[in-house]
Amino acid sequence: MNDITYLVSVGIGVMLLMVVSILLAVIYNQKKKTQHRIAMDKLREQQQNQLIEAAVRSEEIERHRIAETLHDEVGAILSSAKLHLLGIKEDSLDEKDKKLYEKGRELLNDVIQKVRGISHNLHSNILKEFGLNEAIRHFVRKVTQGTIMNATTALDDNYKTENPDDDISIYRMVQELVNNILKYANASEFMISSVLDGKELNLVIFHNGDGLTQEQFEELRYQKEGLGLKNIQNRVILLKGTIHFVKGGEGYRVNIHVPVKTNQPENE
Amino acid sequence: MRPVIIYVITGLILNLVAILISIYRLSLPDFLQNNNILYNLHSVLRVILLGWYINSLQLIRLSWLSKFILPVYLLFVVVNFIFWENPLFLSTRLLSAESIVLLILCLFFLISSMRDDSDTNWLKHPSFLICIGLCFYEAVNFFIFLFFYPLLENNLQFGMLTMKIFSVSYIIFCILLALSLYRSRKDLAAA
Repeated sequence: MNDITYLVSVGIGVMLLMVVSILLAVIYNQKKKTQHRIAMDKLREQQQNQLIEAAVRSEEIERHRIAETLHDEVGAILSSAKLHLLGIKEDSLDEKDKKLYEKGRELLNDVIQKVRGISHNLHSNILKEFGLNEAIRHFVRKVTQGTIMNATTALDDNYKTENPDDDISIYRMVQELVNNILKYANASEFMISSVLDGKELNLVIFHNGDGLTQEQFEELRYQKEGLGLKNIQNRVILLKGTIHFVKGGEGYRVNIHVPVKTNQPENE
Repeated sequence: MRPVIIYVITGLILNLVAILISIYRLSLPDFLQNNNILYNLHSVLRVILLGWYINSLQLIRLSWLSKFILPVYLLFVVVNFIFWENPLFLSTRLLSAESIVLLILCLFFLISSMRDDSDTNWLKHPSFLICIGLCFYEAVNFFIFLFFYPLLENNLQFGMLTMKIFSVSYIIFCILLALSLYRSRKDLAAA
């Protein structure tokens, strides 16, 4: 092998080695950067979830505080006012005052009922004592009482959660969605059903009015007036679940899937 | 990707014409029998078009290197063919200069991609395949171009072997070029 042949062979070898080394360095570097990026994304998501959790928890605490104040303080004052009012002897009143007395008593009863209703709405004792299904049934009965709305529930009684905070979030989502149906959908009937599927609770809210599609939900939840929808989305993120708005043949459907911890054996 | 597409089309035309000339050399008039000028032109176009493409990447657009390397190369081409070499002969000096310029640009791109802090995954970027293919082609052929004539004179057998190495490296480069065009089209469709 003469000098030039040797030089060219070694030259090609060295150049190839250089290219391969740089290629490996680039691949290694890029992989490291990708891993770092994934870790950062995970951290960011974790922080976002912590923020959402803190916001949702503080909202619940505030609701609880307001509910307690309404029930224990405002409710007590109103009851006391009612007692004082009832202390007035009707016989001593003339016709005009009697009418005013009756009206005052009626309004006071209304206020007491309303305050109690708001207090229960803000913090449901039924949810705490009887669980999610009973709270949803009670809520549905309450909101449809005295209306022509036909509401039905078909809830899976196998569902028993070990985390009450999750129940509160699911309940709040149902509350918000049902309130939206009552306010905006012009529906004549709605149905809430749930199925416990292994470690997942599948909740479906169906109504026959004008509802939202997934695209509309995605669009509205970023708008200022879509605060309720944003809260729903935050709670879905908090529960690590999913929510889908679907337009069906006869109406609209909201499918909520939430992973839950249950005492239910998996083979059932 | 426009410079790459232009290069692929012009490269294909130049190579086809060069091959046709070598096949039908005897039946062509004298002034059309030489295809060396086409190989020289191909080399210059490769540097200009692929250099343009690498410079157009966001990664090194503002670098000082990209601003002067191509003008300096073009100046060298002009000076070379005016004072030193005849464009009708295969210019190994030109091919070696091509290797140096494109190797510098490709290595600069690869090193810049390592220093890049953006979210771009350069391994999945079409430019990565082009630069790796080009880097491989130029790295393998730099010494072959540099010692092309002395090699043929001293060791014809090895000289012929280097031509096979050149062909294989060019095929690999073309495959990577095709893959990058495919990936670019796929990315465009996905966007």
